[in-house]
Amino acid sequence: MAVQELILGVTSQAIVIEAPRPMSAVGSVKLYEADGDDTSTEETAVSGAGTVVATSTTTSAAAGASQANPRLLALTSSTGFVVDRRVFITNDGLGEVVEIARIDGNNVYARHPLLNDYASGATVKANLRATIAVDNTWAADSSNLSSNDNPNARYRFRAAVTYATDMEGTVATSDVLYGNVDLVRYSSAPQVSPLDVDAAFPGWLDSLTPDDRSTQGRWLIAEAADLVRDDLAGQQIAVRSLRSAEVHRRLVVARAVYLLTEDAVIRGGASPQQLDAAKGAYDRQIQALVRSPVLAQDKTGAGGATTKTGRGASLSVR
Amino acid sequence: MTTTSAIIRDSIATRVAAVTPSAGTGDPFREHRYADPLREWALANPASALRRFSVRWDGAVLPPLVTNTTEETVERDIEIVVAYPTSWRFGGQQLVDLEEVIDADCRRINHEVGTNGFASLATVTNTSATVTTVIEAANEIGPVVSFGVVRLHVLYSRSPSA
Repeated sequence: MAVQELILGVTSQAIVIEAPRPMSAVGSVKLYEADGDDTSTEETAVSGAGTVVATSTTTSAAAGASQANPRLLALTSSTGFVVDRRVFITNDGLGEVVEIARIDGNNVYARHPLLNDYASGATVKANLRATIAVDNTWAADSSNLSSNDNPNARYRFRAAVTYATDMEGTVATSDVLYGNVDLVRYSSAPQVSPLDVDAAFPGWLDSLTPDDRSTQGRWLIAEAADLVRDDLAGQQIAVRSLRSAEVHRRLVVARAVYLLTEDAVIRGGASPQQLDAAKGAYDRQIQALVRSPVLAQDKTGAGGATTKTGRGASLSVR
Repeated sequence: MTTTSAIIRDSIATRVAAVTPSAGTGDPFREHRYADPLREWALANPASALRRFSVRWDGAVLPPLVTNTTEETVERDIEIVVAYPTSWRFGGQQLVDLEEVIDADCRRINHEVGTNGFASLATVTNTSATVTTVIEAANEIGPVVSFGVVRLHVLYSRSPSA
């Protein structure tokens, strides 16, 4: 799960716990400094137990690989189901995780075709996700902000979960999950539209796979953004410190193109030369805009630029 | 009454795009943009190639069988190519299931614009001016991308001058 960002001063935020299996309950959730162990002082950001999403329904028609549209889940009710989130469908001992691409009335469409067949009346639940509220006072305290100088997340959450027995034959077990959290001034989500990528690389939209077309490649762009974060971390730059939205956008755009080309090469389609070209375009962006930046930077973390030119770890400030 | 090769091609493409696939109706037929030949594009973008199709005239126009100053009847072949990534998407028996899907899709295309279906082209062409018969429907199974191919022999009336 990607690092979750809480925004300074925003109320009613929550930490999300996503599990690989359906959950029946989330016990205590604790937040620690990432470099502190589990015996260190807990943050006051969260307290108590998490809440598993209880949304549950059944299919009103058969669904699955043998159906005319293997992406379609016709539900009794789609109330409570949310696009981009994952749900679990199960029947007769079969089960699989489904990512919701779109909702049309009580019809939910999966990003990928279902692999198995499910009779009408199969159970569909959203209990792969749980949340716990974040204390507003903690989220408003600037001393809790994550540092600009460290690309690693500042916080770690620890969640004690109990897995459900939604699938026949499965046994309820307990587990401890963890994830990472930052408190930031600005979201590091890049402002990149699929049209931005296509403008930089005409034909990108046309090259999207069938599973990505319904969202116009939005998930690909999100994946590209995560990869840019990782690449910048490798340069010891925290993506949350970026203060040039345009530069960040250009990096994500180039990475999205590189990502699609890389996928085609792995499948035996595009040539290594095409991959080199896409990678080269991205690397040049990194070199020109990040490794040897001439952009104003904030060295102190207070928000404003403290340099006008020269190298720096942060092109942006948190 | 006459028609043109462009009108015939466009109307065939429109009909193919409207065909309901045999399986996986969430992945409809989509016409290629023709920036490059479909086979080349599909090989470079295998995951994106599912049911991408092209409709292109293939070969020379045979000399007119009948002609006067206003109308002549000619023959020419047209090729419909549909691409499929060679993957497990259509079933656990990978190639077998893929071949069955390609076969079923091509049958539907044949029925829509081939020997059975050329009359449906009448809305944009002249019924008496256009006749299509199926030469062959073949599968080209490849390690990365596979293709369903439908070749039609088209007999149509055109203007000698336009």
